[in-house]
Amino acid sequence: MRSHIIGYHTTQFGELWDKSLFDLVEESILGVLKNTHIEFGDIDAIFFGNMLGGILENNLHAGAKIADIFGLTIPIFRVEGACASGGMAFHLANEYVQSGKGKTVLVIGAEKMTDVQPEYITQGLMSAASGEEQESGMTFPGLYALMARVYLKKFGYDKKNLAAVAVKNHKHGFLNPTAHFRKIISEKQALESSLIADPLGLLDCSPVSDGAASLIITTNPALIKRRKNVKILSSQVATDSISLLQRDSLIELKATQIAAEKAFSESKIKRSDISIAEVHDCFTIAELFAMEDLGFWKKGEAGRRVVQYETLKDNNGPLIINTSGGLKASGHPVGATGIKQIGELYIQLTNQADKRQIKNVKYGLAHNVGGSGGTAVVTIVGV
Amino acid sequence: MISPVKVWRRQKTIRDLLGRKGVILSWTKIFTPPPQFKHIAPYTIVYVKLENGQNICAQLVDCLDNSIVVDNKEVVVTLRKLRESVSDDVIPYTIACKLI
Repeated sequence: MRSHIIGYHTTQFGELWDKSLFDLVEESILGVLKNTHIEFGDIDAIFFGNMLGGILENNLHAGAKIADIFGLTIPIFRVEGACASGGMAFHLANEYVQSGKGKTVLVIGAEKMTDVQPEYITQGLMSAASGEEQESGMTFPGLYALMARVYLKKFGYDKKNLAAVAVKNHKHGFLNPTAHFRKIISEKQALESSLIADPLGLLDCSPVSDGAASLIITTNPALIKRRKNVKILSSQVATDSISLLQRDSLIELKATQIAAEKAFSESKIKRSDISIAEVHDCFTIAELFAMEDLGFWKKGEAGRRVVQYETLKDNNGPLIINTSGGLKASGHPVGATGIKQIGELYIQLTNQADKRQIKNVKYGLAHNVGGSGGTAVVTIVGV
Repeated sequence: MISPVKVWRRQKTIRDLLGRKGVILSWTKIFTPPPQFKHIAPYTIVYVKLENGQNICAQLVDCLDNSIVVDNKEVVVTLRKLRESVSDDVIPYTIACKLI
């Protein structure tokens, strides 16, 4: 029996100073159970995607903490894969039900990032990079800046070819009520934003956010029958070196390419069948890489095509990218991002996206990346 | 957490890199550093291919004018104290690059 997603909930993403990590976890788990009219008695296991709880809050053994909150004794697994923690949790949750270990699982991703000063977030996130990169004083904006400089030079582009991604995703985020930033920005603002890691400016970077998102996955026909649902056609994970120093190329993410090939092969659909995708735009350059490495566009084309706004909702093209606002505008609470991406596909495919609804959507793809490309998760869903 | 033993273990391996030459493949200037590097920000990091084919990333030092940092410029690996020390007072030296 194929796995189906039968419900989704997300908290507001943003600077949520009155809520702790586990306040967000509790809100989202109760939210998805309420949305689906399902009780804990139907849930066989919980998968929890989270990266920084151990580093920033000295808060590990999260499974027992969740059990404590709800009075549970079912298996609860914490999954960590840097910014792909949510996608990895989803992948394992799907494998769990496909193995027959359980029929219905809840998968949640959450992160609490705004309690500490930005430099400590920078340091915590760098735990997902190599020791050599850490000891040089490198940051994640810096790693993507190194890649951006090579890409822009090789294909003759400039910062305008990056700014278009931020402008588009903020336009989409404006329509998403749970997005961190519901603010339209101009190309001029994007280009003039203060430098974070040259050539990347503030508006090339996804924000530091709090948030949680949950999905319910099941193979139980009785639960699928009476609920809005989408089929999981494939969920694939690929890995690569943690360090940029070991890569043959600085203008592509091999893990994305491998995961995408496997996902399209397993789902037996073509790239042209996909009409919406949530791709991992942690930095504007990352969306360009994603479009090429997922195989939607040829290598080197993305810089040219993003400035034509082909994937903006208003332009009604065959493929719309990041209707949630992406990481850029929707926010990037790292453990929650991979779940929110798939949740956005669920909302779109079940016609619940209100003002940002894309018409006649049958297939969607989610792409979640950990680190500078050391992990990639590609998920394809359909109705 | 960086323990004195971790610093000692790492410093045994970086000495092989000292004095090696290479070329800059890419570079960035960091304006939002981790806390141990806050006192020297902003600073430039270069991604370098060494003569032996190995890639490294390291801060560019002794270069006050960043406008002269360009791809394919030659650099040499040197040793510097860049991070602030931890409470154990072990001085964590690391590699850096100088333009030739």
